[in-house]
Amino acid sequence: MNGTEGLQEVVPLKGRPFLGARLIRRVFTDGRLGKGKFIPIGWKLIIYFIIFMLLCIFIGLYINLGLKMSSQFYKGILDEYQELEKISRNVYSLRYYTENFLADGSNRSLERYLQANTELRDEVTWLEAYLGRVRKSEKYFLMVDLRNCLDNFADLSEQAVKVKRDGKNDAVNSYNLQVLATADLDLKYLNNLMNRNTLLATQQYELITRQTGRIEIVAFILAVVIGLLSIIFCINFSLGITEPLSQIARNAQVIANGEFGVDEIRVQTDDELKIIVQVFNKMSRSIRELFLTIQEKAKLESQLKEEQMRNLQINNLLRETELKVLQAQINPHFLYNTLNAITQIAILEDANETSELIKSVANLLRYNLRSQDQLVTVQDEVNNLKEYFHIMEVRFGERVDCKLVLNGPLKEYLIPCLTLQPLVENAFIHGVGQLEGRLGKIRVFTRERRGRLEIVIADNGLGFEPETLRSISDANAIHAGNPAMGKTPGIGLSNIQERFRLYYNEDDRLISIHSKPGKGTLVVLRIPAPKEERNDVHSNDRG
Amino acid sequence: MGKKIMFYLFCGLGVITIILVLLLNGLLRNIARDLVYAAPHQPSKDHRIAFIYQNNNRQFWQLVRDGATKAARGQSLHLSFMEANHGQEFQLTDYFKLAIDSDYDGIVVDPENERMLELIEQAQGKKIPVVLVVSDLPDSGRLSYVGTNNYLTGFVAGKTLISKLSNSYHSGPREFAVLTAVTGEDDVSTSAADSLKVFGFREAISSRETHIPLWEKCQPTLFDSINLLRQLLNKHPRLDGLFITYPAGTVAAARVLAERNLLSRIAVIGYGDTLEIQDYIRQGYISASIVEYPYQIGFTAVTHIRDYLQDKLFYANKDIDAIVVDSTNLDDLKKRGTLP
Repeated sequence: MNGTEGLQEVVPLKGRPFLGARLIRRVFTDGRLGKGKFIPIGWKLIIYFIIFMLLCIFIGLYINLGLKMSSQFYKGILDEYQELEKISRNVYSLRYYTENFLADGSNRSLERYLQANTELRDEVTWLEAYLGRVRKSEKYFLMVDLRNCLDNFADLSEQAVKVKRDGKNDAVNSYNLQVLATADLDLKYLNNLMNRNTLLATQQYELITRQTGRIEIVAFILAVVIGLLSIIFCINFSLGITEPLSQIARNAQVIANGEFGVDEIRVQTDDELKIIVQVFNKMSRSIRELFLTIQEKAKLESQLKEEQMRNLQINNLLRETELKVLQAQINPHFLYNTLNAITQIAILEDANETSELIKSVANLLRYNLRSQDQLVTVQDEVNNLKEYFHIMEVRFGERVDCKLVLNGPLKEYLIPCLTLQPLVENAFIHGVGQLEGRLGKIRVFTRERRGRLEIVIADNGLGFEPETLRSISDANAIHAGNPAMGKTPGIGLSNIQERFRLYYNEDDRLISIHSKPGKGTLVVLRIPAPKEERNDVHSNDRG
Repeated sequence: MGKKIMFYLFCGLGVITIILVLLLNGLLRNIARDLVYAAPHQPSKDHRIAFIYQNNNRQFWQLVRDGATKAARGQSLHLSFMEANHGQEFQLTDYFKLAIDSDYDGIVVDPENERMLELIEQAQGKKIPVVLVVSDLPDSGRLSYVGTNNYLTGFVAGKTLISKLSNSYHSGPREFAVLTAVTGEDDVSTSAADSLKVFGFREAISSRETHIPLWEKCQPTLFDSINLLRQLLNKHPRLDGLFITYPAGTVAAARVLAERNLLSRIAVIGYGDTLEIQDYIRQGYISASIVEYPYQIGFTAVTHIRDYLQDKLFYANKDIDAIVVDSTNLDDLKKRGTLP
């Protein structure tokens, strides 16, 4: 498994431009010579170096070739000129030695003549070979003329020598004149040819000078262009390396500052730099994902803790309630049985009112003995409340007027056991109980509204000061048992509020209190509709 | 943005590099192909023809060369033009000798005068056919002659001059002068062509009312011609007409006569059809000019020798027409393309 495996391709390829443009773009932008092929930076540097070196060497070789050709051209001109000079000397030698031999007929002159003749014949042979190398048509035919002239001159000199050796002295003079005239003509022609060649060479020299001058200019411009090209390459190459590194440094700084949402770095190279960038991108991605995971986990843990806390609070409340109940129960069965016996006696003594009262007390007691973690129907609560009202009416007599106005399906709505009685107790104790010279009124209304059952407990008692009301409304204050509330009878308002919150899992809209000093207090309960699954409802019957 | 600029810069420089390398390559290839490594010449011509002449009339001989070249084009003939110039070491006879020594297959030559007879004989001895142009040597062993009938040309010029003469302003016979160019290595000779023209001219003007014309010879340059004409007019103020056989002399005559205000008195028959001469004809400075057809001369001469070498065909002498150009036919001839 290599370092790039599993890494994402950061840059998507948009479209497919033609290969040349793609290659140039890649070579230019990042020095990549082939898509998907990993080329180390070191290799790239070597390749660039070799390309530029080859380019420079190529230009150098071209210039060298030009110079070499120029020198070869000059050498060709000089060689030809020298050869024509040599031919001129040979023509003159043959003319001279032929004349000498014709004059003295000596063997020495003959030998020299023969040598000169051989040399001239060699020149003719050279010219024959040279004709095969002549490139210009004009020059070719000039050289053909020369070759023929020299050949004829050599023939003529041989004829003259033969005439002399044959002893035909009367013809020797004529031949001598012909030899001299022909030699002079040939020399003049050679001279003319050299002049022509010089002229031709001058024209060609001008041509080659112009061409070499152009080569110099072109080579100079080329050198400048290649220099610029290499500068651009260097800048581009170094930027191609330093830019991603700088970006890595910047992103690392951002991540170090706790900001994980950095953009991914884009790099188009297929070298070590790409691996570094991809690894960095992957690392930053992983850090970001890890951070998000931890955040999610912390949230879940917080929720779990909250849930645990709620459960703990429920348990505490239950324990607290049970404790209070236990404190309140002094052998309740004994008391209940005793009350029943008293009822029987009251009936026997025709004390019916007493009997009803004791019966109400017994029912109230029995209802109060129920577990407070049970849900009961609102109807049960209302029934209990009726018993309570009966007792309180007996107790307060004409000073209190209690009424129940019941609407809605009371049997369908569920409510924690012993919810309404404490509230009505509060109304008695804090509301109408302390009225002097004024009829205390307590009203309980029920109605179904917006999917909830509203239970309103109203009194026309003393009411609360706004500060007291605010402190009652404050759940914490309620829970802590604010001393402003004074004595809390039975299960207090805070207890009811907390139980509502736990049972219905709602904080708002369940209980609201409205009060004005001297006018009275209004407590509104909004019982949500019962859910299907609730099956912990207990009937009034103890069984 | 910066990367884009760099990219385009890179592409631009890359293209320039390629262009420069191609340019360099082209330059070197030119040197190699034209000067150093050119393929050797492959001789494909069967026959070598020497075309020898004394260049005393550049425009005339250029047209002759053009005609000759045209005739040789596409044939297996190589034409070597051997042009003798005044003052050069190599003269007409040298070229002729060289052509013989070099074993040319054929020679076209303007012999100018009888001194070429011996060389023509030498060529004949080596079985080299010789075609004469411009000047004829009827007694030589030439293959043929291609050129104007010089005698007839001179005769026509004489008749034309007579017709152009104005009323005589002096008593006594008419007086004429002929101006020809010197030629040859000695600078005193007259070409055979000019001699024949003068003979024809004399014949045309000879009568009891005329003197035998003066015959002056001059270097064929404008400077010498003007000087000579001034001297001639000083010496012979009663001249009625001039016949000049070369272009520089014709121009010189027009200028000198205009200078001396003698245009209405002296009629001039010139030679040549240069634009300057055409202007002088149009303005009336020159009465008429003899114009030959040099292109046709060159073309016909080479055709003759080619046909002889290839097919052994002999031609009789070919007289090339000459025309007399005057103000009446100048524009018409020009329109037809006969004149430049």
